[in-house]
Amino acid sequence: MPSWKTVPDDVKKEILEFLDYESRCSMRLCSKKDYNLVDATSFKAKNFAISEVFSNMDSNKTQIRVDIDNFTIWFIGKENQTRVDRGWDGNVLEEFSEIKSENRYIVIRRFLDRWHQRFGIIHAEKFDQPPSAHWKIKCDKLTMYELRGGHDITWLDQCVSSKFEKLEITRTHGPPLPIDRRILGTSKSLRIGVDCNMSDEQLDSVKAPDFYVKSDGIKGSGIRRVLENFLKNGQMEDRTEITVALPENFEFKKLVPENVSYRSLEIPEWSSSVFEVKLFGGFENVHGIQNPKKLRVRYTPDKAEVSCEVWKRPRSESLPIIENYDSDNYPFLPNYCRIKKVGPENLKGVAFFGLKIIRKSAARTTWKSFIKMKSCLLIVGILFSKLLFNQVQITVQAKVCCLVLTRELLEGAGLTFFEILGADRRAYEDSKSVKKISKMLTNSQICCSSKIFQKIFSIFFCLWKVPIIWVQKIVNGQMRVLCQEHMFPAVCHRMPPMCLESSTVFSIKKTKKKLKKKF
Amino acid sequence: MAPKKNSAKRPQPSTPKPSAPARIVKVQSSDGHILQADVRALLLSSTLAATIKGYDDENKPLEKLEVNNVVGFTLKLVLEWCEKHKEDDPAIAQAEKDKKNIFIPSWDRHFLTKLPMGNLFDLITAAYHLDITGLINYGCKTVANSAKGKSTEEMRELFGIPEPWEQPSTSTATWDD
Repeated sequence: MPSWKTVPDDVKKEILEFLDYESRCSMRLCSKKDYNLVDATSFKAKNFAISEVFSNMDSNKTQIRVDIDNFTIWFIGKENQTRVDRGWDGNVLEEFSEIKSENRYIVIRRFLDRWHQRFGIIHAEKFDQPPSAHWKIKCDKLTMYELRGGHDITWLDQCVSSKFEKLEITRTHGPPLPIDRRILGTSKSLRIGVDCNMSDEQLDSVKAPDFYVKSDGIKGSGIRRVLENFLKNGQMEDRTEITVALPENFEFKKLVPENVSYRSLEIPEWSSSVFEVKLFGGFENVHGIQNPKKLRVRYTPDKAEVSCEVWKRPRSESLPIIENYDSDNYPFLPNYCRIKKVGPENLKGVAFFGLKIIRKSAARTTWKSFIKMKSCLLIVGILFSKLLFNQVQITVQAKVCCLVLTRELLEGAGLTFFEILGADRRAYEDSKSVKKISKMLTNSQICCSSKIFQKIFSIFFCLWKVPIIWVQKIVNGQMRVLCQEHMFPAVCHRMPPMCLESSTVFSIKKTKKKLKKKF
Repeated sequence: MAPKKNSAKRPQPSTPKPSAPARIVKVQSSDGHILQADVRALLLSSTLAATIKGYDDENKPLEKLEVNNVVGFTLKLVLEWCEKHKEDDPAIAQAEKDKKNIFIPSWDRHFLTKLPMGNLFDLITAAYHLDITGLINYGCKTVANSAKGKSTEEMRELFGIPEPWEQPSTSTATWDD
């Protein structure tokens, strides 16, 4: 039997210091001795947040919420009536609710007064009240969001921390934020979503690689130095973002730090006010993160938003996995599919078949991974055997899960190629193969450019995010496809548009002699 | 969230130095058990380190160290832990004095979680008496982790705290802290 009683009080205190707020409360109720012991042990909350939400029904009514780890206390009311609710994980415990005939600001202030010495991290989010003058707030990470009346500066002044690890101040209105040395000395993440008059000189003092600032006092040379710092000290998740007013006809290439190798990225026609380059060499990162970086400038006549982050290869996250589709989520699949016979004549257009779309291989498909697919291998094997070995007649029945992507289908659904895939268009801007496929969809002539291809039965593998087989023509063959025409309305409701389980039967009976004749 | 392995804050263990010949001494527990331990392992305990230093300063031969407030079974566990950590960089313990970012290495986690709660309390108490910072931190954090998310009743059961009616005075705690 464990004996908590025999543990010296000093050891108990050591243990209590590791407990979170909920466990402390439970421990506090175990015994009178533990009650006193818990109260005598200092507590630093991992997360402390204060926020205020205004009522839509009554302009005088607000709801102030204080989160201490996973404990929440609400102060709801107007004028001199306040309801106090408490709960864990956002769930109110009714038995602990009470109503007080006092203004909520007085009640919360009293509550915070009792707690202010124990705060570990303050996350003051939209609490438009200045802190009491005697509060001393010590925290490493401070977030202040939409504090009105310039109270963000007051809260900042109340912080006794000499240096922040993370500091985020965001508001849409109010006076500009004065920048001081303590703000500039933030070590990891500094995000100032407020107009501030940060100058180039102040910018040089910024150490945080994860950085966001809005200031018209910054020049191109200052941005270049910030980018140098980012390339040197930035980590994988860091991002540098600066909103400035650059002169008209500013050459954005000048922002690229010296000796850094870069190449321009192709910008789509619809986003002409964007400059993008890929920085792929000529910099040394102290954390060993030598990944290419993407420098992007989005500009209007007045402002330019410069951002730099680790370049990430566009990924397809949209296509559902046919093999693992959940019948509860997509109950319509088997019921609405119907068999449609497609003969060679019907295949004069372009049909695309995605073979067992597997998300894992979708990101970066190579021939090797594609060949691994059983169905594909079977078809390829058959084709080669047909071409290489004479007099061999093979009847093939290959079951293929397929995906039909035709221009008609896309247009019928009233969606673009990207929307059909449920993908973020921007993610595909760089993808040449997507453009290629997109071009094919709009101009089928490209696919049929070669006459030879029209004469033989041929299967081309178009490498894209997902493996796609293009069946141009099957001579003397049959193909049966389970089509999903009934699913088009569902497409508009964000149902998986192309997640169809189809059964395709290829019956190929042809000899080499006949093939020769064709040639 | 899974603990972050080898975070940037955590100092990496130093590269093993060329090992000097081990200096073995006997350690006697309060119940008379005699165990053997490497002096480098014992130096992790500030209390024992001071005693050893005293012997060395006076050039007295160190034959046996007596640990009067730790029983044999617990002392064996303490020595096992110290033996495992004798090569550690002292900077690790120093860095972990600030309790905010303590990461329990996998060996320690396995070592501590397999112990019944009673033995774990004894081990932490012994580490406290011997002033072994690392073991105190890891032990306390292990106990705290096991208590996380538990209700008062569950905590009483886990720690062997008597029920309110068995206690001389019951708690009058309120939520309005």
